[in-house]
This record gives sequence, C-alpha cells and structure tokens, in this order.
Amino acid sequence: MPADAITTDNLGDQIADAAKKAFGKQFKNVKTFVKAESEKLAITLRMIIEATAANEITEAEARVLLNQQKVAASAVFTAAQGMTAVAAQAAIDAALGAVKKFVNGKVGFALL
Amino acid sequence: MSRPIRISIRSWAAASVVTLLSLLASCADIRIVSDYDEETAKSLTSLEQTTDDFIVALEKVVGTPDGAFDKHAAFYDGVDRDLRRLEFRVNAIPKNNHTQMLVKDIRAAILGAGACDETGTSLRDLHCLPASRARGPSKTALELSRRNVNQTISAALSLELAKKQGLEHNDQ
Repeated sequence: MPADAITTDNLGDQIADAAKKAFGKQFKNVKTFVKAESEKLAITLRMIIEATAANEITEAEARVLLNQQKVAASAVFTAAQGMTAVAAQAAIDAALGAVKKFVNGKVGFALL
Repeated sequence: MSRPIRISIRSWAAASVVTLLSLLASCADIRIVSDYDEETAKSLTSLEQTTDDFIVALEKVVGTPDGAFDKHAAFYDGVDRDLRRLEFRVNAIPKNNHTQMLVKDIRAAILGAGACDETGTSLRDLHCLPASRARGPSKTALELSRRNVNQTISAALSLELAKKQGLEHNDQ
C-alpha cells in the first residue's frame, strides 16, 4: 500500500499488516529448517543404532556419538529459537518501516 | 447531544495516536537480536571446511599408526585456537546469546571437555578413547561424527544467514 494511503485511522492496521507479513515469511523459514534438521537427526540416530547392531562401532563410540548427537540437536533448536527472534526483529522493523514516512511527515521531523 | 461524545472520541483517538507514536519512537532503537556478522559467518564456514577436510583425511588412515591421536594433536590445538577467537568475537556482540550458545555447542561437538571416555561429546573424545588412541576410531564412527559436527556448525551458520535475510527483507 502506498504511503499516502496511510491515515491516522488505519495506522494500527498498517503496522499489524507489515508485522504479519514479515513474521509470516520468517516463521515459514523456521518451520522448514526445523523439519529438515529433525529428519537429519533421525537419520543419524538410525545409523548409530544400525552401526552398533552390526558391530561397526564399539559401545564406547556409540555412547560418545549419541552424546554428540544430543549436542547437534541442541544446536538445531537453539538456532530455531534464534530464528524466531530474528522473525520478531523483522516484524518490529517492518512495522516501524511501514509507517515511518507517514509518522515523520505528521510530526515534521525524523521521529522514527 | 451526540456532538460532545464525538469530540471525546476524537480526542481519545488523537491521544491514542500520540501514545502510539511515542511508543513506536521508543521502540525504534530496540534490538532483540544482534545483526548479521560477516566475520562470524566466515569463521563458521572456515571451521566447517577445516573440520570436514580433517575427518575425510583421517578416515583414510584410521586403523594404521598414522591414525593415532597424538599425530593429530595439531588439528585439535588449531581448532581450539580458532574457537577461542570466535568466542571472543561472538561474546563481544550485544544481543548475541543464541550464537554464543551455538559456538559453545560447536566446541562441545569438536573438542568436548577432554573426557576421552564414553561420557565424551566430541570428535576429539572419540579419537582419544583408550581403544582408539593408537590407530584412530572406526571409519563408521568418524562418518557419523562428521554428520553431527556438520549439523552443529550448519545450525550456527543458518542462524547467521537468517539474520542477514531478515535485514535484507527489511531493506526491501
């Protein structure tokens, strides 16, 4: 929507729409990331189980690998958590950006 | 009779807009997550490549004296040095706690705490297990460790790139 279509009456809607658009796109990315990485974790876990059963790795190696996989899982979910923070930041920035020109024009100086 | 009410509603609306503008202005400088850091992304990419190359090379010599842990101490020392540099950098950036946690995870996945037993979490622990110390871990164990290490570093890199994409999205 062009900046001149923003009014004091629809200001809230403009902010909400901009935030929603930014948040929605980022959330989709987080969902895709978590799904893909969870699948990788499952494949590695399956490989550890199969390698242990086939005596391709020792019991001690299997335990270290499982501990290491817990670290990898922790990293995946920490990254996903960070991405939601990035999404929130993008929503804040987009919301402010959507009304910046209108607000600054109204007050007569660079408030935002 | 309705006129005073309309004035009141207009006054309330005007006050609301002023309050909202003030709130927005106060939010303008709020950052809940750090910006994309190119140096961090470069360091993570380099670390991923170095570690991946090391594991692939080690896979070729495991089962021989060339796979011994002591022969590869320089790699682990080098990673320790690189990680300390990266830790200094990410810890110095405000609102960077997720990346800081991810770098800790990377340290845990590659170097661990030096347990050298089954409580270990890392590639180094796998390499310095009593049964692996002289000739290296099994090829399968190395391949699985490679997957875990790559996934851990990739998670950190994905977050940095998400920060970059978030910034680009807002510039549009």
